[in-house]
Amino acid sequence: MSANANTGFLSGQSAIVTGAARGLGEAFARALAAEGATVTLCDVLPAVGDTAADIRANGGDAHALVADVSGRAAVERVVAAAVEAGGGIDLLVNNAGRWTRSPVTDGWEKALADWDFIMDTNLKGALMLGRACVPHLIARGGGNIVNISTYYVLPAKSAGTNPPGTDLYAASKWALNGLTQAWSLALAEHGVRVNALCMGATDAPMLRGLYEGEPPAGAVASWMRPEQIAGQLLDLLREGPDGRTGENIGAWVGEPVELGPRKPPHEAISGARE
Amino acid sequence: MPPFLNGKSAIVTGAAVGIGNAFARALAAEGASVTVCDVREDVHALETEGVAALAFVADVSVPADVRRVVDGHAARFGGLDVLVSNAGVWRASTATDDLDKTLDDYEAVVGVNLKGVFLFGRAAIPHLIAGGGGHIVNISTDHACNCGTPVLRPHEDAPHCPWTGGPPRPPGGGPAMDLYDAAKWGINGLTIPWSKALAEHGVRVNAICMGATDSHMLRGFHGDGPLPPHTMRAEDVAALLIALLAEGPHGRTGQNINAAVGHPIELPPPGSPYIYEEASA
Repeated sequence: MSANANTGFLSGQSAIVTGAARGLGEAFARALAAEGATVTLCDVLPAVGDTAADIRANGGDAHALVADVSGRAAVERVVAAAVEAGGGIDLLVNNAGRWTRSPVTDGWEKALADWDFIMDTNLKGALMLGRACVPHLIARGGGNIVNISTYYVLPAKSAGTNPPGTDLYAASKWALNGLTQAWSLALAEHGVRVNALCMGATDAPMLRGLYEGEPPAGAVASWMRPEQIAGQLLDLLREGPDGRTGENIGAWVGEPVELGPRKPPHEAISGARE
Repeated sequence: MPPFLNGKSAIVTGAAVGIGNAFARALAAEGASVTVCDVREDVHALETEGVAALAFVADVSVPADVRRVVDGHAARFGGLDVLVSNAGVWRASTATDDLDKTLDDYEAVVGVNLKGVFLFGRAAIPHLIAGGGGHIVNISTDHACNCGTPVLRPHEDAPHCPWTGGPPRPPGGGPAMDLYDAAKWGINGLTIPWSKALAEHGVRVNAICMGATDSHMLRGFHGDGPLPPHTMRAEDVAALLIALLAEGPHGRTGQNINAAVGHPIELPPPGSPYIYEEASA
């Protein structure tokens, strides 16, 4: 990667990527920095500092905070840091997410703990980041919010979505539909676009964490790469201020990872059967 | 036809007024022993009236309250056959709200409309499994459906809604419903995985996604003014619930039943291409 702060199409722009220490978030941060953005990375993992340092070593402009987006104070700290680093905020990538198995036969106490574990990050964290960034996005005269979801929210296209044992994770991602859609409507007049990326199996720590030991090579070979999804993010941003908004954009194993044509309003969130 | 829920027992949340009240009455009329709960103290009127055998003042977002209702019901009736997670609240919330208001709204709206459904479902499931089967019916909204479909996708084969003649209505409740819609969309993440996990236990899990219905919530929007044209009657939505249960143990599961305003309020025919289904492998 070679950053191009002067000629990249995001030169002069300030971006936040949550959950950016590794995996998809890291790929998003690297891709944005390579296009010239000033990127503020946060993660609960201290390794986020190493990720940012490596981006800087490659010529990018990156800053890291160890922060848990489930907490209001941490969210406000991240947003303040991004404003400080980039003079404002042009892009929020709500990527931080937690996963745990939550079978319906679990006991009551585990169910209660799982609710907090999943929802406080995946839904409340994304909500708080959005709210905290919106005044800054409006002040810039426009920008983007990109929520990171899952292909579970587009079930009519593929089998195997929303399997047993995923209720809270699935619910947290379905819930993002409400934020993506309502925000796209509320912020259109301010030039702020709001979309979600809804990917199938992608080679990231969350997916690898489902396997005991190394996942089978055949499975890994079939997965999408984080860099492909990051390319999709860049394509979404390249559409510019008149680009799509309020859309769940899918990415499926075995298919080209691309934005696809803009969907009509009644398919933008729900998708269509293919 | 004799009452088909004789010997069965049911819980309805948010039953003091409105649609929940109609659900409780419809279940009792079919012979079910009904427990109701609500944050409103006048939920006890259903006991006095003989509609409900048990009534609790309870907040569905509070775990101890949920346990009190479900455990109290199971102790009285020896089990549970039908859970109707109906309790819901509405508040305007939008992208430009400040964080103080937002966190307060989150606790209220997501707490009741999604966490309440989660908690009641999880508390009920062991009883439903132990009883050899039963039903969970989550009450959602047409915001989580497209016009004309009981599901998550549009009229596929028609550019116009066959009932209203208009173009397919997109899902969603507009810019001031982000948390309400988030909570209701989130219910999909409970309904679908639960339906898969519980199929082997004979437990069906579906959601009813109705449009504007004459209810306490809707009247709250309109004050003393007239209700929108074609507002549905709560009794008709309750009849849809009864029809869904009457399908029996082999009926549909994992589906959003859409009752869109201007459409017939009825179960879509079995095998309808508009019924939610995951694409096949």
